[in-house]
Amino acid sequence: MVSVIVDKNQLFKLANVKLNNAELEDALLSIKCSLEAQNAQTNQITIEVTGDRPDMLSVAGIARSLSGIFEKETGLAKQNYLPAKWKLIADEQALKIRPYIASAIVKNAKLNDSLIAEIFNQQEKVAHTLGRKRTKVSVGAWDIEGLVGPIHFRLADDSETFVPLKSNTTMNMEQTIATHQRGKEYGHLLPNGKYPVLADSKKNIIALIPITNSQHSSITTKTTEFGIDAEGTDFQAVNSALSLMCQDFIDLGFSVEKMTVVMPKQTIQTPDTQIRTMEIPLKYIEKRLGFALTFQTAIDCLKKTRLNAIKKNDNLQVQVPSYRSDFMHQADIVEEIALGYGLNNIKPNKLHTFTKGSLSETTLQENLYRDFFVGAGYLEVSNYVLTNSEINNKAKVQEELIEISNPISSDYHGLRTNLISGLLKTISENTHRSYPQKIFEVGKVVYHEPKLEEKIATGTNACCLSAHSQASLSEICSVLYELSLMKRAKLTLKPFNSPQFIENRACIVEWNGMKIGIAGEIHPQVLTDFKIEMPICTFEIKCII
Amino acid sequence: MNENEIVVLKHLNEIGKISDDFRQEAKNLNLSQSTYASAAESLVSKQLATKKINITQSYQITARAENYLKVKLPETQLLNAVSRGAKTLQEVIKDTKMNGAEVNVALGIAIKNKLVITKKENNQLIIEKNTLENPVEIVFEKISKNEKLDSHHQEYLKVLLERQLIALSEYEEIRHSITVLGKQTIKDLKNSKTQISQLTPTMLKDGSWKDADFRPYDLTTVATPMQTIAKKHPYKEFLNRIRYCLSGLGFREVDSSLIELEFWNMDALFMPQDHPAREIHDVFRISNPAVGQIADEKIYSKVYDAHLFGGNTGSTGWKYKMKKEISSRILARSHDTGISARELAKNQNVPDRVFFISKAFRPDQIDWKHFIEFNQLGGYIADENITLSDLLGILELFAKEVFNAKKVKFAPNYFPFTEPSVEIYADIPGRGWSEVGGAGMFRPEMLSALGIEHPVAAWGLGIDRLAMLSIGANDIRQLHSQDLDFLKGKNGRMD
Repeated sequence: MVSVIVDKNQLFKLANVKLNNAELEDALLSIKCSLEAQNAQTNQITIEVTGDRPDMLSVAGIARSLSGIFEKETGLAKQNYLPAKWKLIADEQALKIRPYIASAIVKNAKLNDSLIAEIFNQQEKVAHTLGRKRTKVSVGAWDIEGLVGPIHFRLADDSETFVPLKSNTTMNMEQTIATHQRGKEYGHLLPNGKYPVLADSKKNIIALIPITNSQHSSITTKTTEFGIDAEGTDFQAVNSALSLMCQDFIDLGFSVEKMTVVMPKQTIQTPDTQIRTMEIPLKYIEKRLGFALTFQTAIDCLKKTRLNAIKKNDNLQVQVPSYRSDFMHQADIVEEIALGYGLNNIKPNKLHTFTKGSLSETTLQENLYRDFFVGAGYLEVSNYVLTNSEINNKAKVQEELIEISNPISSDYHGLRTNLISGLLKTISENTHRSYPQKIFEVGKVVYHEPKLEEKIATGTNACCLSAHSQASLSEICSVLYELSLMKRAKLTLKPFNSPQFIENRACIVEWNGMKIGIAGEIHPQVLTDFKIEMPICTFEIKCII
Repeated sequence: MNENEIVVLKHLNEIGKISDDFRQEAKNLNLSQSTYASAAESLVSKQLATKKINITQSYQITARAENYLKVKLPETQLLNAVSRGAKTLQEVIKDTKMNGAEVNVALGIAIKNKLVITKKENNQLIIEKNTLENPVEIVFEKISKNEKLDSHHQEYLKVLLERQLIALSEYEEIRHSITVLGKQTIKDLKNSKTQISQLTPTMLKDGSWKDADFRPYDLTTVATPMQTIAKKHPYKEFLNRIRYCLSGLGFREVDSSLIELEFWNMDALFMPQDHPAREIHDVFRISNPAVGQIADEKIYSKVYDAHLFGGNTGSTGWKYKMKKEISSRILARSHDTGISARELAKNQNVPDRVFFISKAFRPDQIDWKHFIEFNQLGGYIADENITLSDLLGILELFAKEVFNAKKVKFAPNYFPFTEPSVEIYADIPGRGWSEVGGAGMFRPEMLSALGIEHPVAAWGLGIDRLAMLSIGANDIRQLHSQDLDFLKGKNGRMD
């Protein structure tokens, strides 16, 4: 989800609706948005937009969808572009770095501070989502006043300088990469020593692509004519980024003039506003949605989502404007129809086939052990899988944690390999409570397993722990004895020493000759480190073998 | 009144006057001192008896003097030896068991107390007796036998105290006597049967239970907390109830691992490798080891094709080449949908209904309603004829059965792996309208790469917030509370 801040009154004006808060909330939900926050004083509202709809990262874009759902304006948005007058000449060397470029000129613009802020915000968000942090597409806008055509997209030479946006220092491209905030952020996208720029015929640098614009050509409230550009690695993405910005300006009532882009091998007019068509059988739509619908209903639904369609034999021919970039498959059309139909107008079907339900073997085993331990008088604990090495070290656990490389908290930087250490922590948190404290956990642990493709396996362990003044190995082994009877396994205990336990007071637990775990009296040093002043006996075994 | 109180009260009644010290009376009744004392104390508090405390002083023979009770005090030994005819120190040593030093001390005391006199004859010390008996010895013996002392004995007491042969000790005597109310109670008791507080095996054997009158309980105080209690964990029981509910609806449960390859967690779900939700701040990556080995090259290449050009689905795909070093990264499972991908690759029967409750890990802020480790309830229905309408029906059923929702509504949403995608809102008692999860029809690009041509409807629901409501927890971390009192006192419930 991406959040955008818009003016509520402007949204209503553009969409030609007037809604109270509850209606607005519901209406936004029906177009894949959600109302996140409202500022009663300024009338500004924060709206979250799903990541697949870069064309809705603006007040005009959201209004376009809203007016469709309320049937104020349906079908494709009007795309009355003025014919191209300006030229943009793209040089081969620059295209090697950003293979596609598209541009347009906005005229008769009336800008105020909040609209300028919104334009910048939209450009940031488009470059971040559709543009994948500017790797796929970057966008910009620049005041055309004083610039002399044609515009060039070329590599800058070392002597050329400009004042980057929000700066007051003249610098060359290399310095911009090294010192400017955007340079540091996005400099890695450019090959060493090569700087694609937009410049006019008088060598005024307009922008260093895809880093920053020049301060001189920045847009202000006085600007009435400005250029917009998009460039990147995928033409469809570049063109839809430019298209969606142009469409917003058209919807705001400005004029948009196309740009002639001259490349070494071809010359095109941008944005390419060609309507893309997709054919889809009505039967496919019905099979996916689960109810019958007529061609006319399907077409009406699509119109409400600001698409258009006509019947073509048994198929729907759907028209997709260039500013919509979210259609990969026919399934995407089905969603638009569902959206236009209204999900809450669809009658939910009841289950009508029979299948056999079951619990997993892990769940059945876990429950068997849990029932047994509660019967044996132990209280169930459920600790987090995430833990830290301090707890592991205190418990003198032999295996290392499965470590997280990007933890956000030192308390939780790894996944547990055992349950004992967590239960010792539990006891240490309850030293003020009365004894005996008898607790158990049946839970997941992880361990190295090179045979698996993910190299780390998940297992289910069971651990019982008893803390009181008489806690002993024989006490805890009695539990194992009874458990073995229940599992019809032959219990064998073999000598075992580890710093975790008192010497000669621990053992390896075997069932039918196979090692399943360990048992013992916790070493006084371990208890002291956990600030526990009570003897503890424990065992931990694999639950599922 | 308990049995002991009745025994003591009867005893006091028999005595009729004030009793002896309670220690003595306890002995008479063959009760332990503490039993007698507490029974008597209880009678006093019920005003059935009174008590009188006397503090008496008495002299006790000290430990070091105990031996003298047998062999007599040293000066007495000397006096007796002289009486028997010993005249010199040597003869006294011979006659008594004292050594030279002891005889010297004894002689000093005997001279001082005028028991003997000495004179010099032929340069030798001759001892002659001056009295028949040692009065100090007489007092010493009286004290040892606890006999009464006369007033003229006082000066010898002083001597014995100074010589630390006796010590003064204080002694608290407690005596009881029955009150009028006590006597009345005895009368009442005689008119009724014996009150019994506990049925015993003996009573069952000898049949005395037939005459027994069982003492009634005070029902306002009889219920008290248990010292220790074993219980199942409320959150685990909450999860089990969901499992029972879903298996009852014909879903089979599938196990899941905590660790996953990025391939199964993301790529196989048709999430492009440069998707914003795949960034480092959205997943926990594992460092030991950091990279795994994709096992099924065939599936890998089909997923690769789906991303590049849509595979055989007619989709445009994401139009980029998947990088294997990204696919092979190991991470802590960040959402449960990857489990569906694995299960679908493994098991392609139709119709099939699957569910899983799985842990997911995600970097997030930690506060009362967010934690970086949580459970999700996910699953899917694979069926030749499954449709969006069926999915909405299932979701409505879940909301009502699992979440106890009164009403359900849906909104469109976006997930990279489903189309159409649905967000579910439920009106839950105690919580109001809440977002409870996401669902949708798996994208053909995802399914086809896994070898599946039939539609699959999938869903994933958040359950930890519901668990909080069910358990009565006001902080999500209480679902894994380490406070044993919380675990003992709170029970999972589903209204």
